Amino acid sequence: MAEKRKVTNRVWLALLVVVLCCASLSGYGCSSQAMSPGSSLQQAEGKDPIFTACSCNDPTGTIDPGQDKDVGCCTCVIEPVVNPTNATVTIGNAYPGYECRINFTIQNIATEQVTITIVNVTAPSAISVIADPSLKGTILEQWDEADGFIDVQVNDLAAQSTTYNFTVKIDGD
Amino acid sequence: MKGRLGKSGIVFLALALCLSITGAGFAHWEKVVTIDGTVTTGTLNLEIISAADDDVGIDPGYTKDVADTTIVINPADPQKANITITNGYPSYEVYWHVTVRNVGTVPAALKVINTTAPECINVTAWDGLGEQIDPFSWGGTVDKYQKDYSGRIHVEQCAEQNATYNFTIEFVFWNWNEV
Repeated sequence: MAEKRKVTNRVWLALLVVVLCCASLSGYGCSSQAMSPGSSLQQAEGKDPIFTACSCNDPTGTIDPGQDKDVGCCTCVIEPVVNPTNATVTIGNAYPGYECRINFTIQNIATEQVTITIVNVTAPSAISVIADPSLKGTILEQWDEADGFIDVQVNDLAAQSTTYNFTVKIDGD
Repeated sequence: MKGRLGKSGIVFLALALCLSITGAGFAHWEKVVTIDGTVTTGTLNLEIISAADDDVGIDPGYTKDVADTTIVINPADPQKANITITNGYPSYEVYWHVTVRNVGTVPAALKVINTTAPECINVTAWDGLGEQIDPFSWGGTVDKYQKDYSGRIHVEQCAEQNATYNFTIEFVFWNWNEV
């Protein structure tokens, strides 16, 4: 009886070792893809899709879209070296009814395919931000580019001399 | 009993590890690009920079100096002018004039002129509704960033004797694109 119990315990121990080995292999599996010697530095940093272009249809010194005066302005900046996965939009001197469009280009610089699965917008009620609906589902092979846009509009709820922040996250698998 | 506890412990450990592996399996390579935006709104701010009336002695349209009108910019709200009529009488009339400047950063247009004048004091304003005023900071000619508005005050028959009438005239501006 004692012998039988010993054997059973050994079986459990063996199972545990197998499970531990699987867990370890699984962990290395993820890392090896990103850190293999053949990978570029950008892949090592996990920067797969990046912004390669970004612009706004209301740069400083131009008539506001849909209006007859140059009141508000909009700029879009990407930092290709520091953080190419982020674009920064700045809209100044806006007012209720102000609207502009930001156009951008995303490129997949990784070897593996990327599918854009989610485009998530976070914005306060004082502004409306609408992202290009055609982006979702876009498949990017290595070096493929996709053009997209976001439309920003200031609503009547907006207060004067106030700063509002919004975020658009484009998620890919 | 001791052996059973040991087995249970191993089973528990194995289950926990299996769960963690399952979690790792469902985890995916997430690739996110982000647009961070900042919207800063401008200011819509207009002020009356001068106010005057044309009763500076002899009552307008008459031959005697009987009534008097004063018009001053409301110090608490420069979009309003305070008017006082003393020793008025039925058919006394006077014209008021104000100059409004856009001291904000957004062009404005006159939406409406409001008054708190009582029933027996008739206030009319010249047609300036919809006129646009650009911000003073934009520069340009004076007529771009400030406008003159005038109106008429007429004391009606129902006005009370020995009464001083105080009321305000308020200029309501909206951002120019929504008027």
